[in-house]
Amino acid sequence: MLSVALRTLRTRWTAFAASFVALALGVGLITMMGLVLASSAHAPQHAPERFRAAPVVVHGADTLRVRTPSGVRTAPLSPPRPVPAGLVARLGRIGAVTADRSFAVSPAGGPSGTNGSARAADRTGLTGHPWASAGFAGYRLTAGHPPAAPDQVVVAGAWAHPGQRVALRAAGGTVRDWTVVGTVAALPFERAVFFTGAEAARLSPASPRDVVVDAPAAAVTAAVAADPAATGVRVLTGDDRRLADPDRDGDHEALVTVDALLGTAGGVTCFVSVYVVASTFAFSVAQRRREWGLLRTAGATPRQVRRIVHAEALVVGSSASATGCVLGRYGAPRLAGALVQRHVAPVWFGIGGATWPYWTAFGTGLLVALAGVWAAGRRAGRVPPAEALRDAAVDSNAMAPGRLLAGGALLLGSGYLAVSALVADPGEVLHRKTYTVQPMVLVTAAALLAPLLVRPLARLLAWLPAQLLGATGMLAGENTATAVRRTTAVAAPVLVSVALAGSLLGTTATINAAKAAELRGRTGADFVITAGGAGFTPATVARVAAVPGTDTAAFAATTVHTLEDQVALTGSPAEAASPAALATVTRLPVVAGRLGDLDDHGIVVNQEWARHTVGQYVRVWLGDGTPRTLRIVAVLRQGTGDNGAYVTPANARGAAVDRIDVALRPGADRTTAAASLRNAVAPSGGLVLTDRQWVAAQHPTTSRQTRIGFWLVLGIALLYTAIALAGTMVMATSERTRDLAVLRLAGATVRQVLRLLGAEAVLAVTVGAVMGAMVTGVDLAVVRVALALLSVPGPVTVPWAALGAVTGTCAVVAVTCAVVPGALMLRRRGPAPVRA
Amino acid sequence: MQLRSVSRTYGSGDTVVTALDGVTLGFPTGSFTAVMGPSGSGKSTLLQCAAGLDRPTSGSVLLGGTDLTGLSGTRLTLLRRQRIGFVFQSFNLLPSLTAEQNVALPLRLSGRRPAKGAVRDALARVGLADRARHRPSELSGGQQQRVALARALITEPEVLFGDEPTGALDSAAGRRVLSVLRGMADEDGRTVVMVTHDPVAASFADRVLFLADGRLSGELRAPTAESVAAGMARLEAVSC
Repeated sequence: MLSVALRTLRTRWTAFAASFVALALGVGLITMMGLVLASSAHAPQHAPERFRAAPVVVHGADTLRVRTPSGVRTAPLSPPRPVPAGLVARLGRIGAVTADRSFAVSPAGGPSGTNGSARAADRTGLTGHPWASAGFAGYRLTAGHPPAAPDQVVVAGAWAHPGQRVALRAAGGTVRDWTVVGTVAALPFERAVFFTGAEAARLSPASPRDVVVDAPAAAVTAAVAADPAATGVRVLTGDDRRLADPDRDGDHEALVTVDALLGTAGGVTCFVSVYVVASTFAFSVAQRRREWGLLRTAGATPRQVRRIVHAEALVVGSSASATGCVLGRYGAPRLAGALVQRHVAPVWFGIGGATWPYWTAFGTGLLVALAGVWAAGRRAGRVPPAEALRDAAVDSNAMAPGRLLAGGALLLGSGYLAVSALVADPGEVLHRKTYTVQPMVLVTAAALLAPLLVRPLARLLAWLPAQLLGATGMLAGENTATAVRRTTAVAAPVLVSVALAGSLLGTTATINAAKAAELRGRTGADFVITAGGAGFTPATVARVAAVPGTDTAAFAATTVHTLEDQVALTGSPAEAASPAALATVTRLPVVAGRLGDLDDHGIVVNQEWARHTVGQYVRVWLGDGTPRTLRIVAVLRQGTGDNGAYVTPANARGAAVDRIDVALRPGADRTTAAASLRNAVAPSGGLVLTDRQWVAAQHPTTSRQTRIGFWLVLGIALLYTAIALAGTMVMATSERTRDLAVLRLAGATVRQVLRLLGAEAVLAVTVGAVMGAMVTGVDLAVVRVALALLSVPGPVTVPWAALGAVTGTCAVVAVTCAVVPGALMLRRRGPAPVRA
Repeated sequence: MQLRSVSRTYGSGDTVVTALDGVTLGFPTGSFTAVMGPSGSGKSTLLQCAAGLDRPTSGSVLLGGTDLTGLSGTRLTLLRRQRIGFVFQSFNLLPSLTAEQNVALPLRLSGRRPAKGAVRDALARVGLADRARHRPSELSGGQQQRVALARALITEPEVLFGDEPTGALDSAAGRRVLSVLRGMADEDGRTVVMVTHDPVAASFADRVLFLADGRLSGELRAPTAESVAAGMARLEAVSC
């Protein structure tokens, strides 16, 4: 049987080309993602950087640890706690102590004054340190001398030279001029500026986060253990010193992002490649009914026919999978490079030597190929011998009962998922996990049920063109509507791409629009002042509050942790503000209680919290890790979610004010107030926005990673659609020699035949696009209903441009792959008559 | 319709096969001619060259003063569409179209709307008025061939070519098709040229041309099934 299969493969390679390419590409992508995931799971433990030359580092508490019945749960503290002053003094008695402070420094007029994102500011910004700690990172003077006076600095890198005056804003303060007195060679993990120890302490007065002690580690550990105020403080030596490196949290988050991104992309790749391989294989088997009939006439049993089909899949599957592994081997380092370049993965990220991704991908590829032909093989085995003698007719049974059953079950399933989510918890629908997974279920259901819709849709769409004088409209309509199998093979991949594009992009756009509408509704301010990276100093806040004719509310972002169900330590975003200001300046949607009741023992929560009844007590850990039990004084409407809790500034120690809402009093002049506000924040580099500007600036809230993820998913889906379309069209057209010759005999010119092929391709793609739009409509309707249930206003945003672009791409691919082989065929054959 | 010393060879160099070797003949308007000959005698090639489906290697094919051999591909297609009709052994209907749509196809391809009732009339003419909305797969072989005839009729061609039009049909269905062809010559004055193997089919024609090795080898006027069979037997005896 294998020899028959091999010979078939040699002569009918076009039929297998699409399956081969789809499979090789899928296996390549899976290998690539596997390799990257393996590398992120075994990320190299990079060596200490900031304190690589320090003997012992005492690191302030930065992790909240909560003991629960099912083990210790941890969460990062925001902001991390400094090393207590008492401990620093105690350590000074056992060895020389050097305190290191890190604080944001920005070139004047630089990021903190512009509308750049915080992340961009972090990257271009400088980090200030006291000169005494420079040596621990390995900095050595390359020119000049250390800073000796408060106005002297040493900079890393070549952007300034000794003797130059530089204007800098340090730690959110005012802009000042410093004299560069020396330079050191730059190190990759930060852009450092060194001040004198006293100046650094003045600029960043909070106690130091890291203290280097020149003493035996055991003595330091004992000293820390003996200090009752030193809970959570860690003593780091050897490789552990990397835990005090600046971008540790960033690295961890970045890797989680990489994993999530590739996990989603890998899932979509598997989903789409299984689908495409199964459908192209099935189509090529269906196209060869006559051949199976001939084999059966020649005496082959159904089992033998099935074995031939499986053997073909085995040959195609294993060669394609092997090719895919090679592709993945070369692609993975490029993917890792791209992730690093786009700042998705940390700088040091690279591909390790894991081999399991190859085996996994190879096995997956083979499995996909065999699974893809399983149903097709059974169908081929059932072809009766008489089929060889019959003329090609209209497709009658494109809808196998198994397909109908699976499609129906999935449709019911996705309906159930949507309705139960809407009934139980509409907020669930707005979560990324939900709105990326649910469309896939519905898309699969629609793709399986597509044969049912293809005929009526094709007739409907072709009705108008068919009324025209020429034959093209009528012929295209009839051919598309009767060749259900062929049309489905083209329409279904288009449906998948269009529906994924529409649902993913449309859902995020709709949710973003709703969030913007919600934000607009909640903002009672006329102006919103935002700070750069370091926040506003109390002096700035006081200056703003003193502007006549205004009411202000200063907000400091913090985190409140709760223990849910005794197992999950969840951090909720929270804002610290004074109760009076909350009540006058904001328009928060209170459903119970009063904002004015907020005091240092109270908290305002929203309906997302497990406990949300006024008067109940809730146990929380504040941003700095302090455990508190707070009384719920007011409950806010859940809305689109993640809208945060409110506490008083006393419960957000260490959090700097980063936003000030300003409301005008009746009669106050807008222009004058704006000018006064600008004056008040000018020295500290804040940005005064009108309420509209602010809401607009918050609008593109979809994070960059989510967007990259979506484009990745869409790119993969579109690529596969293109492969499926190209394969199907080339196969279908080459099998239509007879049809086209008959048309030529009936008097059609070459141009007319080609126009017909193009029109049929466009019609089939349109059928798919309409079905995709229908799926998109259902998905967006579910989201809109969820928003309505949460009483959030806002329009349904349909990403027409993306839908059009996807459909257009599909149409171009389909038309090209129908017309080019058609033209070649017609040129080869001329209008000679055909015999059966 | 005139053919003047038409030759057609296939292949090149040592492997040249001569299918037609300088054939000159005419098909008078309104006549019904049957072309017969053993396999490989060139009768299908003759038909295809005469119908403009294939191009002769040398010689000319004249249809009412127009030389088909001098026309470009597209012009030839247009001329075929307007002035020539065909029927084949395999019926060559488009499986996705109904009988009615298949019949209307040549008109729609030339951008004309079928006149009211013209399609129905053509179908009625071949006795299939009640099958207009059936697809080919729902029709018998004889019915499909009659749909093909109706499709050939709809453009009112001057010449109708049939390549073994009854070859795939039983004798009763074949007779119905042949009487339609006969009627087209007698009542509409069209020229009908038919290639066949079947002496009975050939006996419906006004005359029978015998072809052997690419050359005309005989002619029989007012044929009967018996005389045609005798002529064929003679030819096959010579060629064997």
